Amino acid sequence: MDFYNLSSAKSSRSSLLSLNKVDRSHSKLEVQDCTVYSRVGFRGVGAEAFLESNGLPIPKLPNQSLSYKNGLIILRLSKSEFWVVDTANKHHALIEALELSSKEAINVYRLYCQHSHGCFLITGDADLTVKMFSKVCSVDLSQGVFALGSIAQTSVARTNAIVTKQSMDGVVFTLLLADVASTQYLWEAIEDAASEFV
Amino acid sequence: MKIMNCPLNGPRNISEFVYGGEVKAMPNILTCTDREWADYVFYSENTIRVITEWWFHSPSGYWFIAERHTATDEIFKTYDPSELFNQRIDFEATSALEAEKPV
Amino acid sequence: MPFSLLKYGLKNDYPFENDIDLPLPTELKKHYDVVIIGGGGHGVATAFYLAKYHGITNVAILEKGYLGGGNTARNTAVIRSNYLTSEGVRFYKESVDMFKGLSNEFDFNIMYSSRGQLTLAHTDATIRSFRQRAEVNTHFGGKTELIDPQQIKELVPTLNMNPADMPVLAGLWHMDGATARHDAVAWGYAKGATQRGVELHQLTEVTDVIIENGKAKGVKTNRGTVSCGCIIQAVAGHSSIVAAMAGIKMPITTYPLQAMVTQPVKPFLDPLVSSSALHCYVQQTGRGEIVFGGGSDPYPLYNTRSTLDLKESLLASAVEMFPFMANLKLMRQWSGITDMTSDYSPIMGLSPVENYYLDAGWGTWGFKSTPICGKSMAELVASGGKVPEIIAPFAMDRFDVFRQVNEMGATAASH
Ligand SMILES: Cc1cc2nc3c(=O)[nH]c(=O)nc-3n(C[C@H](O)[C@H](O)[C@H](O)COP(=O)(O)OP(=O)(O)OC[C@H]3O[C@@H](n4cnc5c(N)ncnc54)[C@H](O)[C@@H]3O)c2cc1C
Repeated sequence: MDFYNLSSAKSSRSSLLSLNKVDRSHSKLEVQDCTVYSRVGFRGVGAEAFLESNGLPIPKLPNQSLSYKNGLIILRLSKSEFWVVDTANKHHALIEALELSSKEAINVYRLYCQHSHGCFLITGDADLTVKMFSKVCSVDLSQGVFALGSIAQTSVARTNAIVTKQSMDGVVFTLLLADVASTQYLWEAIEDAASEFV
Repeated sequence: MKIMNCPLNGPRNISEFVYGGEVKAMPNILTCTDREWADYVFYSENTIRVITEWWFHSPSGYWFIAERHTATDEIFKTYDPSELFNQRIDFEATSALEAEKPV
Repeated sequence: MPFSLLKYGLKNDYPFENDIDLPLPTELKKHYDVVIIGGGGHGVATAFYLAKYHGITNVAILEKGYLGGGNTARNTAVIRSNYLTSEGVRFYKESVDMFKGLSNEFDFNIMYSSRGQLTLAHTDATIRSFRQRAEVNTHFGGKTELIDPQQIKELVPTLNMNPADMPVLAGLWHMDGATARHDAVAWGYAKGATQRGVELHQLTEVTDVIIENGKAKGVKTNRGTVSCGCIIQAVAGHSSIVAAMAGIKMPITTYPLQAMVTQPVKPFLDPLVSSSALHCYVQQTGRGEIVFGGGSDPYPLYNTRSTLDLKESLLASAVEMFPFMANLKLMRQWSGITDMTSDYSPIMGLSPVENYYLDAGWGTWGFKSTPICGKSMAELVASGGKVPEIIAPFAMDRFDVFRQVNEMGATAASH
């Protein structure tokens, strides 16, 4: 297999996993597991131009994210590293197409964020979200400091993670990406941290 | 907890970083002697002064350079490696393998 | 009797004033046959054996602080010989054997306590390496075997057999494992050496090494210059710095190593217990305190500060191993700076400078080797530079020919 295609994995994964794992039983905060939704990453000096030529908007600075449409989030993790993350499970075709066309692009290297990372979406009261994160993460995510579109690449509940604040249809949410091997642990840790806010 | 300023991510707990060794020039593997290679790999001044060293911010997978004092642990400066390295460095790995072919 | 108390209180001199262990300080002489830099366990042990076995007594130990105030005072006193390589095991085995006789030899109690040391395996790979270590140790006459979880439970009933969700699968049970009063070892050697005429100069810092035509000739100190026939450096964490005075670059990096101790509790733990997967080793002292430590600091530094990071991670691991420790109070935390080699074996023997001998690279594991180091360094010096066979594998130039003696796996968090 010279190129691993997302589409082949998708159906096999979704047959095994629930696409709608949500925890809201104990807390005002809702945590949703989006791990099986599609995402892809690109890096290299040609990555920015490549994404632009595919009609995607590009965050101006490293550690910023943008919400494109219908829950498609573009994260700029460094000067030349980008992730495109589907938080609504609606953009599989676009992501697959991006992935395939990147084969021809020059100075663009695909990043393996699909199978390496778990992805959680946290919604609910903004202040409570900040309070919940302050229990597990040392970066200040409070309103005035961590604006919509900010990214923190840091440690959450002692695992390396990427955190960004975004919105869809006016609803603000926090996106949390972390090593896939830690997802079960992290899910429980976030659930536990959120359970205080009933 | 000690805080280090990551050029990409800003001030973070030192526990988010991994130490990567002193920045030093690698001898040419094709021409250097075993002793020179050993000196590069094992030996070190290991003294008390400000040294220039590689650090890695683990959550973002980002390598950068720091200047730190080896006794006070004070970090004077951190910066992107592009300030020291502005072009790709090739290690000529393939030709080295050829040189090691059995005779 | 209160009256006898009163009598002593009113007297000008105290009962044991004339019975002190160490002679009072003297002026430095102009010349010594042997100068030893560093008054830690290794330095004083070398002086002791030079005087006792070889009759060489015109010896000065120059110590910049006080006797045994370096890593000798800071270590957690794990004594064991269950290493991995033949070179290592043979060497440490002889040291453990020597330890057993030290109290007698000194006529001074070093509180040697042979409790056994237990290392835990949480993976198959570790069990395989334990098998090898047990074989090598047995081959050299040590007592080491692989034991199963049931035997571990019997040895250490308070141990959590599933710490941090990493079940204990087996243990390396090293019956020769022991501990001793670390300070007493330095005191015993110093007492024995000075009684035989060796001079111990505390608060005497070597600031430079005098070399003429590639030969060591003397040292400069904060108290003046002395000439000498030869020099031994045994300065642990400062190895690279002192060696640089002699123009020698070493394959050493200096890292802090931290440890801590809890309030005393009633005896519950006989063996020394360690787990490298958890980066933690735990033992109970004769006074009932629990001493525990782990791996080195994550980056090089010449500083004996303690950190919150390490306190946090070490406490987490210790509590995983012995959950009841969560109720204990921490009494002290400290650190030493350790001279680490990349293969976790020492650097002993000759140096590029004639008459300048090295005892370095002792990192986090050199207390247990104090007797054998003293003995073999003394032999090296007394023979005028003939390297004893037992330390030959630890020559510094092993790195130049890529012939390391790899003890990393057998050292890690057990020291
Ligand atoms: C926290 C900790 C735990 C440890 N646990 C263990 C263990 O369980 N088991 C084990 O076997 N080992 C252990 N070790 C390692 C062990 O302590 C050392 O390897 C050993 O003590 C080294 O002895 P030494 O005599 O060479 O050094 P030291 O006792 O450090 O003596 C060196 C002396 O040199 C002096 N000096 C330095 N520079 C100069 C100078 N310029 N002039 C004059 N004097 C100078 C210093 O003041 C010092 O007193 C541990 C170490 C630490 C820090």
